[in-house]
Order: sequence, then structure tokens, then C-alpha cells
Amino acid sequence: MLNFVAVLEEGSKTSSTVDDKLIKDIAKGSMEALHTLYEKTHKSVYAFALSITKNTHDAEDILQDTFLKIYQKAADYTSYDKPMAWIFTIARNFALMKFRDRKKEDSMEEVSDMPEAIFSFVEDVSERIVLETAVNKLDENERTILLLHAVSGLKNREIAELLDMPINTVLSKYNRTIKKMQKYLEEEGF
Amino acid sequence: MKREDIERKLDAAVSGMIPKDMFDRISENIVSANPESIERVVKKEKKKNFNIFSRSFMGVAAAACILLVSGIIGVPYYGNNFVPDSHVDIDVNPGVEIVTNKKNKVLNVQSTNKDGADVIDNMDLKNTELKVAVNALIGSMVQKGYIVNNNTGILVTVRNDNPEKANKVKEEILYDINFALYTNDVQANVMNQTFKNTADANKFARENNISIGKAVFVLNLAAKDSSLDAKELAKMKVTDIANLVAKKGIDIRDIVDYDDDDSIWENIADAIEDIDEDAGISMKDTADAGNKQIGIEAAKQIALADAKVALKDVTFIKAELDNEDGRAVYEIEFYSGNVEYDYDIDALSGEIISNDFDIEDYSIPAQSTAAPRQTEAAPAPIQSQTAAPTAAPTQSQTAAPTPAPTQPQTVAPTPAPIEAPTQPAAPSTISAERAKQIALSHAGVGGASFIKAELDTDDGVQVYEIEFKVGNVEYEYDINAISGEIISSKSEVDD
Repeated sequence: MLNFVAVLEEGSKTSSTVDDKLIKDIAKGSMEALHTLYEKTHKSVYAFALSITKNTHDAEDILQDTFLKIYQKAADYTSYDKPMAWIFTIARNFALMKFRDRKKEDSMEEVSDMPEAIFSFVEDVSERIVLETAVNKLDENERTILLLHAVSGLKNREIAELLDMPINTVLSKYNRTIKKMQKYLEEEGF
Repeated sequence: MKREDIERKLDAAVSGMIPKDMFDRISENIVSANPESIERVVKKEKKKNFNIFSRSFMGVAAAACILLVSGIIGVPYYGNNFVPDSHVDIDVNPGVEIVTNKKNKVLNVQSTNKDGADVIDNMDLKNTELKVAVNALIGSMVQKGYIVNNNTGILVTVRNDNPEKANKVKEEILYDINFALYTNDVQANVMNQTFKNTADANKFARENNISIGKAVFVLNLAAKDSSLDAKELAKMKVTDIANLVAKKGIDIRDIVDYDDDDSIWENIADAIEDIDEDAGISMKDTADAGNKQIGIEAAKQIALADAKVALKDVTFIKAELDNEDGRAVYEIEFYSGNVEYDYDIDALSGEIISNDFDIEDYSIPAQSTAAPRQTEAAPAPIQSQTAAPTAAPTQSQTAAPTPAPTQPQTVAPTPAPIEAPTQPAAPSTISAERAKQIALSHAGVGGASFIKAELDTDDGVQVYEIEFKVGNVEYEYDINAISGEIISSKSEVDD
């Protein structure tokens, strides 16, 4: 199921080299353009969704819904020069809908009261522990910054823009998050 | 562990979780949705062009009527719920006016022009809460292509003789509109104003066949910039006025409260929370306030608007009133193309409680689109065609807020069940055990207590319906019994 070698090789840390033209091509119905966009951004979208929902099923749904929506809505795209911000807005809206649904099912119980996420299907133990630590021990901002940095290779500057945070905040949060992770992982024996 | 190692491991773990066939899944889903959306784009374009020229000739009678109503009945008659209190105009270019009583219950919704009538359609929004009406109206505007992303101005005017109350209603309505825009996934510039009824504006509105709200805005704007003519402005779409304002660099912040889109995200998060809380309160409220259900048609409208599909393109499978945990809920299910949508809509507030859609990767045979789906959970094949009988008994079981199921259930548009879908001569199905394994491995759990694992036929396709629980999380899977493919998956925390 998991092919880490392949992932690492193709994990070409694509950052936001997405331009408006790509979105315009998608608006014209080009599946090739959509595929290119997917290749460039799906890891960011997934990482973002996972960091918000802490749940792989939700993150998968959000990834799928987001790209369907991008295709559907490309013609309405007007956030010139900020395609990533647009894409993240879509993903975030879907994530919020998940929360809304979950809250309904879950009455008033806080989402943070949910049981700790377990990623037993991640075969490599150290990878699993790192992921579980990030998901369960960090707060949402820390988690988002770390995941976007690690998984999608976004620069802190780009993350700051996408999350609408000052760059200094992102930088300091990022450094603090790394230290936190190191501390927790040490406790786990890593 | 070094920073690089942490990041590398995270990357490997997360990247490995993304299904390799995700893009294929996306593109499969797109193929069917595409022609429809193109058609919608075309429709929108048509409407846009149409809007600019042929407008504001209709609705004289309607506008005159409304003004008459506010003129004659607007006498304070304390304690009477039928006395109009606030008037809310929403102008996009379809113009609608909502008249509410002191408790913000909708007394009437009227169009102020022809497109407004199109927007209202057949929805019966009387006696609903203001936010329900707003949600339904905005939904309808989106669905009918009047509100297009980022390209639409919405002018909201609240009229009440009491300025404090006007402000209060304004706050509420802006919130409701932003929420409705959010749930419909569109963004628009919302401009708003409050004011007391004035004779001048009334007269101007009547003469120019526009809503009173637009009249005030236009008059204010013309007063602010002498190069503008109020009559000319009255003929323009709000969007075009907004463009003009932008072009001329007029600062309109003193004549309207401009609601910037920037903070929408935080607004939304708060909005969701508050709406949830409201929903709890409104349940109690409604019990004694004689509130009534929004009706199947309005519920369908809300679902269609949310799914962004047109009425003519869908086949309803189910549209019935049900009772879930003491809450009256419309269960709406329909097909559009090969997408099956499933909505639960609060019968009182019109709020979407849950929604879901599945995409079947085969084309539905023509004869079975009309045939009902097998019911999901109940082992007995009770079809959902008769909405009224199911609704009636459940009503009495729990403290349902509605006094009686007075809904016109007969309008349920579900086509008559022709015959059960033909059972295909099954080639070879995977075993239930195998289906369970597929579900477990997808859920990422080792073992679980199974609630259900049965073979069912869903529109002629054999499907294992698998349900299991791990801790307090309940999982539901539909798995294609031939290919082993996961058709749908859902998990929820059970408390």
C-alpha cells in the first residue's frame, strides 16, 4: 500500500509554482491542466486538510472535493496571482463543513476531545510516531505550519501568506514546534 | 531527532497516505459533472446579459403593494404576531422584500421585480425564521445564477421605525447572508444600510420600480456625487453600481456599512458555532411560537441549491419528513447524472444537518433511474415513497417541536415505484469477510465489532454494506461486491 521510496523520489518539493494560466486552462475544461495542478498542489492540500481535521478519511474527502470544486469553479476564479490562497480557501471551507457535520453528530462535544488519532497503517514505526506526535501533541497552527513545511515544501513566507499570519509569527512558531516535537519524540525514545 | 529527519518522516508518512488513485477518482467524477456545469455557466451568462437591459419594467404592482402594506398595517398593535415590524430588502438584481414581525418571524416574502419572483418561485417561507428565509432565498439566487462568485453585489436594506431595532435586524441579516453565501460557496460584496421609512425614498422607489432599499442607496449615492443621476443609477444592477463606485473611487463607507470579505473566514467559524447554538435554542422557541416546517419544496430547494444542480436535471428518490432524535428532518435524496445526493434538512430551520454524495461509476440504466433505491439500513424493504404515514407515527414518539405533521406530504415528487431493479445474474462476488477486510484496512484499524455486513443491491449493483465500531467511532462502508471497490465511506463519533 505504501511505497516510500517512490514517494521520496517523486516528492519533488513542489512549492507554489502555480500560476493563473493553469487555472484559466482548467476553466476551459483542460484535464491536463487539472492534472498538473493536482501534481503540484495535492500534497499541500492534503497536509492542510489533515492538519485541520486530524483524520485521514476527512482529509481524503477534502482533497477530492477540493479538486472537484476547483474544476467546477475555475471559471469564477478571480483572486489574481493567488491561486494557492484560492485553493486553500476551498479546502478550508470543506474542512469547516466537516466540522459542522461532526459537531452535529457529536452534539456539543469539542472536537479537541476526540480520541487521539492513530495511524496504525503507517508501517514504518518511526514515521508513525512522528506523525502521531504531530497530530496529537501540537495545536492546530503548529501542526499546519509543520505539515505544510515538511510535506508540501512550502516556504515559511508562503505559509505566512496562506495562513494570513505575519512571517515572524510563522518563523517563531515553526522553530518552537520543531523543539516541541524533538522533546516529545525524545520521550518516546527517538 | 534532527529537524530534517522529523520533516522527512512526516513527509513520507503523509504522502504515503494519499491514495495513489486519487486523481483518477477525481477525474472520473468530473466526466459526468462537466456537461452540466458548462450548461450552468451558459445559463448564467445568458441571465447576466439579460439582466442589464430588460429589467425594472415589471413588479410595479408588487412594489406598490408592499408599500401599501407597510403604510396601512404598520400600526403598532402590541403583542400581535401578525403585525409587520421590519422590512428587509435584498437587491441583487432580483429584488425581494421580506416582512417580519417583532419576533423576526417572516410574515411575507415578496418580489420587487420579475427576477425576484423567479427567485421566490413557489417557496412558502411564511412563518419561518428570518434566517431560514434568507438562506433559502440566497440559495435560490445562487442556483438560478443570479449570484456569481465575487462578481455580485448584494444590497441589504432594513427598514424599521425604531433605529435600534433596525440595526439589530441588520446585524442578524448580514450574518445570515454571509452564512448563506458560505454554505452556497460563493462570495459576494454585501453592502447594507438601515433607515427609517421616508416618503421621498418611497416615492422614488415606486416611480422607478425598484425596492425601497435600492432607492435609498441610489439617492444617497447621487447626493454624494453630483455627476451621478439617481434615475440612471436606479436602472443599473447593484453590481454595476458597485463597479461604477469603484471606478470613480467614491468612498461609500459613510452611506453603507461595507463588509469586507477579508474577515469572512473568522466570521464563518464563529457563525457556525453560533448557528449551532441557535439551533438548540430555536427548538425550544419553536415549540410555543407556533413555528411551522419549511415544507418539502423549500427543503428540496435548499438541497438543490447546496448541490448546485437544477431541478430539471435531477430525479428525486426520496423527499420525506422524518423524525431524528426528536428533531423533524426532511430526508432528501436525488440523482443528478450518476451522482447521488443525500441531504438531511432541519424541517424547522431549513439548516442542512448533513449532506453526502456518492458517485456511481457506471451509468444508471434508463429504466432504473425512476425506480427507487433499496432502503439502506432497514432489512425489510419498506420503500420511502409514502412520506406521510412514516412521518405521522414518529411524530408522537418524541417531543417533536412541531405540533402536528401538517405538511402537504402529497407533493412528494418521487416517481411511483415501477418495479424493483432487476437483479443482474451475479458473476462472482467477493466474500463478506473480504469486504470487511477491505473496510478495516481502509479505516486503518486492526479489528472491530461489526454491526452489519450484508449484501444488498443498490440500483442493480451488488454492494456490501458494512458497519462496524471501533471505540466510539462508527464506520459505514459500501463496497462493490464484485470489484471490492469502496463506493462510499463514512465515520462518525458516537456518544
